[in-house]
Amino acid sequence: MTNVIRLLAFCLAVLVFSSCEKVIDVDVDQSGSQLVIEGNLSNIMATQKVKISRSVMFTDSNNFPAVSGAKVTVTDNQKNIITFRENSPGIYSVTYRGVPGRTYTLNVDIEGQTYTAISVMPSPVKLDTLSLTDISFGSRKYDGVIAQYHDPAKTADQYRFLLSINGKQNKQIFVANDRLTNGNKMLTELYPGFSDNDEDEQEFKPRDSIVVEMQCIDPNVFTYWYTLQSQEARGPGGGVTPSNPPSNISNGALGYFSAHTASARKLIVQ
Amino acid sequence: MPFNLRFLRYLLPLLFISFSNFLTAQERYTVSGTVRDKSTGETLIGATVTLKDSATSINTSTNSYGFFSLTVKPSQYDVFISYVGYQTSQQKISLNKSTALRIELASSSELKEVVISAKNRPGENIRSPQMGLDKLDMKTISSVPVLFGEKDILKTIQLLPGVKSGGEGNTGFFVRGGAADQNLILLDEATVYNSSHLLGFFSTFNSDAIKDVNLYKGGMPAQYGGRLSSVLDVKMDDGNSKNFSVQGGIGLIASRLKVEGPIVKNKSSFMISGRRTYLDLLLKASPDPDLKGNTLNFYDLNAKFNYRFDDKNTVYLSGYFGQDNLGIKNLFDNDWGNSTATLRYNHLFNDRLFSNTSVIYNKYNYNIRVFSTNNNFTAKSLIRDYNLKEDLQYYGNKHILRFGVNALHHRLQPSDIETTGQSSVNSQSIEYRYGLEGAAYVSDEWQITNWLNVLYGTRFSSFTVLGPGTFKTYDGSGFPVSTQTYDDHEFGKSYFYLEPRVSASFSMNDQNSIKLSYNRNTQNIHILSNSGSSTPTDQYVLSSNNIKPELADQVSAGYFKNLAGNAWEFSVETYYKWLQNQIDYRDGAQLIANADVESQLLYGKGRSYGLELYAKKNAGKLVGWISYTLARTERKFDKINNGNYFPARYDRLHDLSVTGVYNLSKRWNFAGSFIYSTGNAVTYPAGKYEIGGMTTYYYTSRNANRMPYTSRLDLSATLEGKENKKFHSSWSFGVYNALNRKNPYSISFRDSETKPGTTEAVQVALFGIIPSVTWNFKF
Repeated sequence: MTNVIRLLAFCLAVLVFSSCEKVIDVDVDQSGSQLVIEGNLSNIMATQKVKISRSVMFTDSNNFPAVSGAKVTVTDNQKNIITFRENSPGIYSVTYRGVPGRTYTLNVDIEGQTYTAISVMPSPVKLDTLSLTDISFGSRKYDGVIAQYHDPAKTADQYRFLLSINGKQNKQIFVANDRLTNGNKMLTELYPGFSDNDEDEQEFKPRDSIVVEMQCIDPNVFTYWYTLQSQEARGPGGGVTPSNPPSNISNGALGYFSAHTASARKLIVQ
Repeated sequence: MPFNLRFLRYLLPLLFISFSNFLTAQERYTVSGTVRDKSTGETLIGATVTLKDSATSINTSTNSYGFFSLTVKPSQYDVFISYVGYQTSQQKISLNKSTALRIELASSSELKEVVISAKNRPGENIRSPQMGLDKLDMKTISSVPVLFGEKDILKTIQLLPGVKSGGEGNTGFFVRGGAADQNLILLDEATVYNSSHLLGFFSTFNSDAIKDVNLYKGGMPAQYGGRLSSVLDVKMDDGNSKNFSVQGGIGLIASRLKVEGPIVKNKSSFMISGRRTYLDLLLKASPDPDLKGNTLNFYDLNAKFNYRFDDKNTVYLSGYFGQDNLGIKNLFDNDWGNSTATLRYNHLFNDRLFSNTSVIYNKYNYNIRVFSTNNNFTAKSLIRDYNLKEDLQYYGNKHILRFGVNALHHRLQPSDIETTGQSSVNSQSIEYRYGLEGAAYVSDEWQITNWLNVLYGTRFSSFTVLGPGTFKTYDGSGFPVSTQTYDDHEFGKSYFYLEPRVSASFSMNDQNSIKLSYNRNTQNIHILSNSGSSTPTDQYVLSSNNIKPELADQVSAGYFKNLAGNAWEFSVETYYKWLQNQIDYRDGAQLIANADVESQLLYGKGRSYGLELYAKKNAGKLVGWISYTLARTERKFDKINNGNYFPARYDRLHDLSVTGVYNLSKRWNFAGSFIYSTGNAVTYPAGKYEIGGMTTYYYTSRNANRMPYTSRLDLSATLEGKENKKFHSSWSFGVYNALNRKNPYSISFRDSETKPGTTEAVQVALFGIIPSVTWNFKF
């Protein structure tokens, strides 16, 4: 439901504000470089990745330095140790399949400092089908894709959706939980054209290949993404006061570690 | 805290001394009465009554119902009654028994002169111990230029020192560092929870129906309570008790009509005033498909009826109903509105004891409907209050004693969600919340000497959580640690507070005074909104076992000076305010339809301090005021900004406004207002990094940055129609934002499309220059 309200706020914002935008110069503070860890471990036998990089100053260009030479391992509550190797600078990977219900602990040793994070892999939920939809208001039409799945009634579930079109990842954050929708057949609508960075994706073209990956994520990772999502500044009044989303990684590193289950579907636009 | 209950040890004995004063008064008679407008019979609130004999001069002012009472030694007196915009009345009485007067003042517009005269204007602002009070007369409000030419109380008070506008598109206003939900907004004593229409562009107060507006920024008298930062007390017209009259206005986007007249001449009258926008009719007719078919309108209705049985008994029944509708065709609609009803009974026990009993109902609700087949739902939310007040005023010799009781019952329906068909949303209802606020107060306005006046008193307030309901208690991390269930009408957690209120004025002479005040206020109903702006769908919560009542202590000091026979008023006021039990939110807080919403909250404190300069010219062809505020307002929460103080979003160092009205001739007048303010405090990124393939921003401290400044010039001109006995009309022309400045509404950050690999800041502005025209009539 909160996603629907966001969508409405977006429609209002487009109608009211679209003509009054301008790029301005602002005075920003300068910060020291921060360590950023983004770790994912899924229940699909695939390349599992931990990416380590550093932040840059706001005024710098978007080249985020890779951090090499870290010792990266993940242990589970069955005492299995999974060792990640640096295959390209800052990208540590291993081919592995996680098991739902297990607790995974990420350990990163770098420059004499240890960073740890804990994530419990939730039970999987299957993404059943994808279908197309659109939303129109005024002269504008936005194409969207509906992800259909059944939310399990017994558990509190959190979802993250990754949408890509022709192999290009959409830059919006889509997360949802079942607080108001528990146990239902879900038809979650994703509109790729709602982001400033993806305005060219407002309408689908024939033969577009649309892939949706649905992840079941743990509550801490949900809070991480939800915080980022609610700071997206569209809509009346802007987003909530921005802050760094609460990370599950120790020692002040930015980023998150997520043990999740994944289910993906592809749809070709006719 | 510099103040605590020990304070009362000094206060209470003072009250007893006052009582004993009443008892020792001897051989004195009372002059009492009611002051009314000669042509309409409307009572005049705050008119000054002066009794003068060869030796002394004593003043008082009329109360909210036009009543006054003065008890003095027998003598030959000249009685002067004066009121802004009216001719001063003068009569002689030889007082050898208690006397009741019926006074009617003629409006000075009947003098057929343009220049407002300052002669005999009382220096009430100098003498009265009340500080932090702004009185607005409706004449001023009607000439200040505003958006779309709709004269507006809320927009006008935002031109006063110490009052900060929420900005374009924002419903709230901020008083001396308080949040938008810390203003008590009263319409004929009923609480108005949402004081704006059309997302903040209009206020719910239709100026046609309004008689009197008082804004208390500090030194709140003891009869007011329940909000921390201000009281905006708005009173409706009673209705013309002498003649039937119709007035109205036709504007570009809204029209108004008011009908009033006697039911029984001089005994009973009514007033009905309505307003409706037709913006959506324009939208329907619009060729632009972006606008066509959408809904955007509001309407409101004020009505009042009164019946005067005799000089001692009067009843008033007043009500307000307003609603906004906003919708996008086939997608959703959203409506919200206030309803209020107030029944009051005035009774004079004797010529010195005035009583008012009020029974008040008010409601605020909103509905959101989403039409999507897959995710359709209707969400309803409501606040309903029943309020019972008994207020007594005793006019003693040099004392006005005021005391009373108040009981207020709240019902909150946070969110009732209903769905149809195969919606993925579950129908559900978040548990209703009930609360009971009680208060008893006593205060005394005492003219100790010619140069020293004090207003002191205390309010004893309570809040009790009422069942039925299940209440969880959360620990510091937001996890539930215990659960308690209360039955129907069972009392839960209670809070009790004493709220001392003291102010004093030291008059050096008729032209100069120094005032000091201290007051404490508590608040038990709170808005939850983490978006930094207020919207009609904000959630309300009551105090509970987790949410403690908000508390504010304010001290202020001021210097007041009048010049040129009170034609000029100057004031300097300074204040410091301590705020406790303030509310903020955890990261990623989910506030919508959340039964565990209290687990998402953080509690902290605040401080706010400032200096307010005010210069006002009351007389001459050019009237107006300049106000400047230098202020800071900060908040502190353990889990935000590393536990350090940070600026509130509406913290602005400088706020300047200049308002002027120039009466060129009998037919033409021109008005202008200019505002300048420091930008809002915002949080800009200090760095950036990549997460999930997206540029993500790194923040170091909260609200440490500033939006660009805001400035705006508004102009208006009014052309009065030719003089005609029966029919009067005027044209109002206005230009909003005459300099067409793009004032910042929000600033966001994104990857640049023009310079790939870099990020840019984007400012959104709402309104450029907007002209307006309105035709007003009266007969």
